[in-house]
Amino acid sequence: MYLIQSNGTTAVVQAYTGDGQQMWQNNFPVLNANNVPDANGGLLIVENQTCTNGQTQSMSIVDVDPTTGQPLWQINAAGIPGEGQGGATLYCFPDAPQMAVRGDGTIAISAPGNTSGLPEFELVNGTTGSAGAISIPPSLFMDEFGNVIQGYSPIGAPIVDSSDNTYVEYEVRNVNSANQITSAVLYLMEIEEAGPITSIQLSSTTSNENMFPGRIIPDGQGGVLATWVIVPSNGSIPANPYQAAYVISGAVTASYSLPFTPRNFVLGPDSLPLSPSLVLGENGVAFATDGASTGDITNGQGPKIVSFNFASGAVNWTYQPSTQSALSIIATTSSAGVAINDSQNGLMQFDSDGNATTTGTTSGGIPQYSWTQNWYTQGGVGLSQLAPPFGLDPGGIWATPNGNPSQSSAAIPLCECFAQSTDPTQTPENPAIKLTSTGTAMRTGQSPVLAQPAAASNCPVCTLPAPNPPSQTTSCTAPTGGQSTFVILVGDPGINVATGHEHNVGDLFNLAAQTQANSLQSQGNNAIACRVSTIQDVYHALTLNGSISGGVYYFGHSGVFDILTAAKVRISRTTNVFVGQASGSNTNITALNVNFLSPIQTANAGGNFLGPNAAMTINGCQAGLTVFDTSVNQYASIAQLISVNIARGVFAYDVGIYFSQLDAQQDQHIRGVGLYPPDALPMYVVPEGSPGQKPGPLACTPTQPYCVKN
Amino acid sequence: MSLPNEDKTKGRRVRDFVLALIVAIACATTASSQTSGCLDDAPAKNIELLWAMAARGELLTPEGWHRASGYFAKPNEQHDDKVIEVMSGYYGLNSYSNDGKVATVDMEFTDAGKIDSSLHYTPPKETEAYKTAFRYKLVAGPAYIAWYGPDGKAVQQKAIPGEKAWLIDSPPPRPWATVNAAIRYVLEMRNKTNDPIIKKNADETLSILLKMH
Repeated sequence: MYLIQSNGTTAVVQAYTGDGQQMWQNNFPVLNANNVPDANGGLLIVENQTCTNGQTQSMSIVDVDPTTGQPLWQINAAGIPGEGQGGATLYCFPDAPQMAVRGDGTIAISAPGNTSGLPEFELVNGTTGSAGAISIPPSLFMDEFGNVIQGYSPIGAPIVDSSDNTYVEYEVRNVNSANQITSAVLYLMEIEEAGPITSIQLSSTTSNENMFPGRIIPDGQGGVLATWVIVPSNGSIPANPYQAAYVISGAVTASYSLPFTPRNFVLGPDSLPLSPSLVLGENGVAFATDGASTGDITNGQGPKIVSFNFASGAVNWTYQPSTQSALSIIATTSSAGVAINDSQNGLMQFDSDGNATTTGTTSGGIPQYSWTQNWYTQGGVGLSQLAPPFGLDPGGIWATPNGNPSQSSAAIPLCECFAQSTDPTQTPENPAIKLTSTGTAMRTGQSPVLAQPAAASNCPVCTLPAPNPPSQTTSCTAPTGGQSTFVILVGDPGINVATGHEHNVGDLFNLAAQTQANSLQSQGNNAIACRVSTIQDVYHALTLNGSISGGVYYFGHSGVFDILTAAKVRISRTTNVFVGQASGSNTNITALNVNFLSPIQTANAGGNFLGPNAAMTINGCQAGLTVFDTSVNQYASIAQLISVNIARGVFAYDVGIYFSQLDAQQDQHIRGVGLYPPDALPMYVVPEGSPGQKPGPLACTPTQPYCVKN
Repeated sequence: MSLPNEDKTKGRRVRDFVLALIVAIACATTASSQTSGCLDDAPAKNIELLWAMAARGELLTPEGWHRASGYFAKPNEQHDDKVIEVMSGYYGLNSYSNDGKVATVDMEFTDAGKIDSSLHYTPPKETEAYKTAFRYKLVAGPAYIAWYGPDGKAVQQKAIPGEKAWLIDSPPPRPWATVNAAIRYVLEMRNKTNDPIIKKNADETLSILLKMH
């Protein structure tokens, strides 16, 4: 638990154990209020998010070590050269970066404002702090000379749903030289945990008005409710300025006005209208509040708490005190209601029908609850624990306005044991193994966003993570010792990219590799298994495990790669080893990059890391198939090219493969269609072919032009 | 009335920042940028932006198609909405080369079929390939800015000295969309029609596309 106290120029951060014992205390520059825990127990803080005359310090996002209080990494915002006082660099950061933390530690950061000095949107590795910007389409502005120039598109705060998918809204505007918004389009971007990025249009306008991104909350079943604020340029306010769209499977299924009719906007510190806070209740209900109001246009009353149907926007009930009250939602409750704080009436609880119970006021700030289901307030004298005044909803995945007790804008229930989902994509399906037309073994019925099946027992290979360079260049099991050393390479499981291209095999490559390792160890050999996702990982695994006297086995995807024109005419065909499941040239071993492996021949104190009797066996599809590789204008297979570059023999199939618990000599199938091998040992990679007459791998040698039958 | 976030001081700051941004963008799009130290990945970014438009479904509208035509050296302003191609939502750059005059960008994708004007879905042809990619060849040409002519209305164009734009050196293909955008397209088209056959086709197509999502 962290306590942050700031006096406007410096801040003190204290870390406490759950029972109130202080672990450490550290001083920092001035911090803003958007500090959130990271996924590893540390704290993400934002330093110097200020805009003062003559400011010389850059804004920084810093990850603080949970055990020492020291910075682990930081990201510094850029200043604008020449725009500060006397031509100095301008450091002005009026808008706070907005962060959401994924379960894998990745941090999604949006940077609203023209002078943020950060990419408008980026994903940051929570361990290393390395960042990758996500492109947000620019808005277009026309200056007084008629030049059309690109600029900032307003962006909202990101969120992460319970499948670790990230969402963020942005508005792309066309603004003419008279500062009129000739068109504005509001988009919702989704970044799936496995990588694909899509944006859909939520709304558009040509009425000289903005649609500023608002809050987003998940529905717990794969959909989200995305909201925005309509802000006309002429200073007027629409009857229903707050809008919402319910998005399921990438499509807007319903759009409606949120039930607020304020006379004026209440502006936030960024001078933009505040957007209603939202939490997700039970039975398709959401709760929202506009927080503060100078008067409702319909009745003169103040802000509201409303209960409404998530899918239709239909209002269930409303609580609306006078304009003196400021309202804030604390959390949903176990009685399918909501707990709020009314600045005039204190803590209140509403049941699912809107019946209110007032439980009194508290000293200090607005209560917040913790993962341990305790309540705390932070007041002038520090942190106080309260007796729980409400029964909280332990299964609510968006029970507070920022998602969870950590306020990390991620959908996490207070207690996973209570989490319930009717999302069909969350239901583990019986994995079916079949062959594609390419002969590639694959598992059907799995989405790439699903968690992998539980690893089989006695399968250390199944628990190996992919390497994480540059800090971790290899990810291997410990050497077992023995006569000869073998290295077993295991590629990525694959992604289900489309019907007929469900490449995700789950743990089957891992299990086949474990079976191979067990076999080698039982024969008294030293077997080291390594996960690999790129050609660099392969090189490191083969050069950082000492001399490999026995041989190398690869278990992973491989096969034919076609290059087409935009008219779908094939212009190139190659065979590749598809080590990694991501896109990008280094995730594959191809004719164009295979020479990256050639230093293996001399990197072992001038000699080859592979012993004179060591060979490599590729347990994947068609790596030995010879095609006319137009990238190098010669007949070749990737297995042959690997053999040339490592100066050792390579064995590879020119047919497809599938998985079986019986080896190639015993399996009675021609191919794997309709087979359902369990996630269990032993597991074998079996080539397509008639039972009892299965083809062996082709043999490739450095001196021959093609791989030949063994 | 200024926008809420654009007071006069901030407006000036915005403009200054936008100008600074333009300098950065110009650096990124300059074909001769090897001499300036900039990494010239503008051709790859163009292809990514084009595919981002497809993922948003913008290539399925005449307005979006018109904007996308700006990425092609031989644009086809006529929007063919008879058949749309559907691509997997999973796509990404595979390899990229650029000699300063010609760039080659391989965009990995998976064919997910096509949808005709009656919203009937046709699955993709079977392929032996485990992976497929589109190869785009881009050529560097002059970059233009637009401004209003003497009458204050007619938009004119002027080449920017020293600046280059990267254009795809092949005719635009059929309009395409990723699976998610195609789902939204079919939903919208289904709601617009009263033809029961088209509605039935749409329902069948949606049931197929939703399995790919």
